[in-house]
Amino acid sequence: MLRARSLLVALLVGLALTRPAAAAPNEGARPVVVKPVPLDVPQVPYPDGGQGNAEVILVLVVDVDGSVRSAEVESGAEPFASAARQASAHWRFVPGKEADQPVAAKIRFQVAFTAEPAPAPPAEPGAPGTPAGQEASPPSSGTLAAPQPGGSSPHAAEPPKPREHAGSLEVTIEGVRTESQPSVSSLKRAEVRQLPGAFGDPFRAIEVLPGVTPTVSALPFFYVRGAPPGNVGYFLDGIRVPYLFHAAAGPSVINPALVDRVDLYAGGYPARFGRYAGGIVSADTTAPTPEWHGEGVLRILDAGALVEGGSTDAGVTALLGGRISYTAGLLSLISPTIDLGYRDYQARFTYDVTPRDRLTLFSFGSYDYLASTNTVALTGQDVTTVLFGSEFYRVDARYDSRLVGGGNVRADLIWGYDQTRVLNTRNSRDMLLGSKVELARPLSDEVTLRGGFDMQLDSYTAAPRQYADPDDPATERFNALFPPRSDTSAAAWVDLVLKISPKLEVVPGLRLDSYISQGKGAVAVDPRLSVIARVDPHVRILHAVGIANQPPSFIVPVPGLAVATLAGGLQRSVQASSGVEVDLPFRITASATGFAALQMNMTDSIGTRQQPLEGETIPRSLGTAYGLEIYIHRALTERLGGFVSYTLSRSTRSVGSEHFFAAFDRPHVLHTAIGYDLGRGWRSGLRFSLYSGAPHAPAAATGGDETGDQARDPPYYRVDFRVEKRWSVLDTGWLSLVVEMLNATLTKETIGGQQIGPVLVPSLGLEGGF
Amino acid sequence: MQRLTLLVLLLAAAQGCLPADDRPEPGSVLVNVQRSEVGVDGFTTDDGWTISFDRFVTAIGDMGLTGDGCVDYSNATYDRLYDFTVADYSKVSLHYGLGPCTIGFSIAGPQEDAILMAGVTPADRTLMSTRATDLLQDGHERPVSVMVVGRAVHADETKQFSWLIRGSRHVGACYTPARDTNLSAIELNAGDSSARDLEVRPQELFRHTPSLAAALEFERLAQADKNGDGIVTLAELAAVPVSAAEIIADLADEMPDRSAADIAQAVGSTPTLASLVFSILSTRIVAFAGAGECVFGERSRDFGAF
Repeated sequence: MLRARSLLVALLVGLALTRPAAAAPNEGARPVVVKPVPLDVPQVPYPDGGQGNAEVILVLVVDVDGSVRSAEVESGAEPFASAARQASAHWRFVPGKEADQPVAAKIRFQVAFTAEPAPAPPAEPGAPGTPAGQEASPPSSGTLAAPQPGGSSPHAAEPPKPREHAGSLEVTIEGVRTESQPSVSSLKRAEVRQLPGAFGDPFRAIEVLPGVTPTVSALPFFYVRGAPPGNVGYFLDGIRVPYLFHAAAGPSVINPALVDRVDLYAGGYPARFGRYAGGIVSADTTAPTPEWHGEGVLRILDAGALVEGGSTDAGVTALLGGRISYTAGLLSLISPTIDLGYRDYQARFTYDVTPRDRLTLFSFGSYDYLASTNTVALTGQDVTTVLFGSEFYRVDARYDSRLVGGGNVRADLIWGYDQTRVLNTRNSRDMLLGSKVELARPLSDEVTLRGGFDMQLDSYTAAPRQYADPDDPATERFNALFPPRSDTSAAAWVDLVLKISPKLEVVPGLRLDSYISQGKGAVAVDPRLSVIARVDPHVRILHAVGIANQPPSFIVPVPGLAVATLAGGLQRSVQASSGVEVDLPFRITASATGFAALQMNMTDSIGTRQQPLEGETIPRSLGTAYGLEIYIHRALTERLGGFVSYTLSRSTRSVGSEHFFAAFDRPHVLHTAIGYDLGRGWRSGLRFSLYSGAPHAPAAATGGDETGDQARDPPYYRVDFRVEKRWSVLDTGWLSLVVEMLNATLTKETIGGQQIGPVLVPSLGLEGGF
Repeated sequence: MQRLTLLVLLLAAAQGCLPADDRPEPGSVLVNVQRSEVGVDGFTTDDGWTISFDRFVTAIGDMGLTGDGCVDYSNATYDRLYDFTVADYSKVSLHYGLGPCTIGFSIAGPQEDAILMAGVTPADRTLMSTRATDLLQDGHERPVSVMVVGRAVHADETKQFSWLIRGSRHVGACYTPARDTNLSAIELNAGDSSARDLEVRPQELFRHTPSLAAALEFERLAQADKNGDGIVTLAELAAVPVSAAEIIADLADEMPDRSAADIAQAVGSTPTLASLVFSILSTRIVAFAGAGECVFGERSRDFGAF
């Protein structure tokens, strides 16, 4: 019996590195970029209707987890081209790396088809197209050329190896916005490391993205397209977390070495995101890797480290990271009565049950503490008062599976514990238990189904406020807003990725949420739609529109504090954006996006300068936001890189008949930065930020449009800088000394007519890795 | 055994790292305000005018414990809005702390969540918390700390007054007239409960000078009613100069810890009846019971999130 079998000659070709990456650990301009390596690339069945030998070249985007995110046919005839492209969805690679961090990479991949006799291939169990014990179908035409000798799988007999290809093929490391998605801006850690004023934290770098309006310089609370901080949700690997930063201007609560990328969805976000009516900050952790590697940092205020390794044979990896501050020791030299500290940890264990199935146990947590100790006169007794305390912990037990036939499924069981010291005297807690399932499944070449559901139980408790006046309205207000209770929320969502044509992709989605708190319920229906039109290989038009709902929210996200009452209904926003993105010469991208948002029933006490509770209800307001975002960008990891990020916007609030500017309506927000590789391991960067002053409260409540009566604070600007010297250590190690400063101009900011600061954050750090 | 260990670990994790409020047991002090007989029944000035009040509304609160070696546990900064023409003996606030402390409080424009006491309406709170300016504010917008509505009768002559006194004052130590005891001071020991009373003195608005020994009088206020409409207004009082030297001398006697320059600056170079009543005498209307002078200053309130 003749059977057609493919001779897969996988060739990674032309891994010519086209640009230096300053984030690379080695000294000098050349970056260390490691190409993706085929790990699980089964043979491709010889297609029905095919004749003779053929060669197909695919352009693959290999994701950070080693899966193939996309495949396009660069050359090759049918039916071989389709066969190769369809098969590629099931391939698995060791992901490419930049600066020792897994990154998405674009590669060319050659598949050769050879007609030959067909001994049964030693296919991997469950491999698509070549299931175990099943022979590939014979060609229907029966006109195959004589089979080639040597019937073994090329994958087994001749492992794919890179081959230089004349001239052109490159590995493209994914950076900012290389994946065009409407209303999302992405940051890669490799680039964030070079951003002055971000201190290597991807989360801190969010503030430079278009659409983001700061509240106060250096504080990690911001408005996103007019939505207040309480309407911005934070996610890490899809797990909701209360905040991303240690107190005040502290570093992020997740070790930057664990963060692969951070996405800011400013509006009209995918259906899988919900429960927030403003924006979404979603971070993905790096893919597990068994190769031992680690990073450490030693700075003036804290030290952190992360190490990961494992066994390829056993299919296990283990990661442990953390950061601890020693501010308490430093402060004790200045003020012995103050105790300030923070710490965080991350731990991850993975086990590959099969090549397609992985179990993950991921835990992380954060702790902040500020206290003062006073001595009672006469008795000499020391009394320590906690001025601020906050912590949260998450444990995520996760199952990932790559489905036979394409797609993947993920199931999570999540436990969490949040706690915050409130009003100096009592702790407010949330013990949560959640689960979620997410599925992505290609139904055809043109249609991919994505969907999922999740639910979460939150048990809120608060210690009684002892040593306090029971009549204090603050206590009564707190009890009304945050009573002990158990809340339930559940959601189901689905969307379809429809590739209408090679130039047009439409993603309609729908999300349903339900909430129960104190016996009252609320249901939300959130339709979403995004459109990507590739009008030219270098020009994309991006549209996004959607409705997002959210229960009443607190001023800023605080662990263990969630507003209980559903009285007054959910907050709701209608978000829309439309933009164009253009690839310019010299690897520069430019985009312009117009946006508009209608924010209804908001509990934005900051924006409206209201008390968070009025009687038994939360004051509500109507908000509008609209504007234009400009982003011109060349990766800071280039020898010469930089960006200009400018947002022109207007944000208003209406309460009753009063209409006024939102409290942090800043019409102009500009961030620009430049980074340059000076050679010999030296790299420097400079960043300039400028934004309009916030409006004052209306001079008098006229009951109408009061925007003309609102004075403003003066504009604010600041300059940040970063200088790094990097050395290579042994073969793969690196060491660098980083001097960085936020607000090097010592500029004072004016808030509400009062000058504060200058708020500045200097940093001197020693970083290293292997 | 393993299950027990796991349970213990889970329980430990469920408590987190943040300690509970484990401060040592404090002492407490309950502060009340006495019924104002003058506010309810009125009084007669030394020059023969009978004063009665229709409203005498002020917010008292924002209390705190301060002092070296004093540890304040409470952080209760709320207000109560009283009308002392009807108010009985009432609570102001309850405080916890340890050590030798001074109780400070404010006479202030009410916060939005000020507790309304007998005879006070939400409209009063709104009126008084709304910031505005007047002849004495140099263009600054301030809330109303005292609302006084009343009348003065002498023989067959009646004068009405309806004053909104703006600006807030923080009152610190209150001393006995002999200045030998600080009535605001208290020593709080673990488990002890104590109380202090405030008293309200509407009549202080009508002193000739800021001295407890000065005469109570209304005649010159009545004379300020130049348009003869029977209503004594802020503008009319502002047109009547008074002796700066006299005021400064009295203040210097009663506040020896203040420098002459400070006092002169507070009084101004050309004081009027308006500045005397609204800016100087108005700071003396609430004090610890039995006190003479109190130390006061501009109030700075931190509007917290709760």
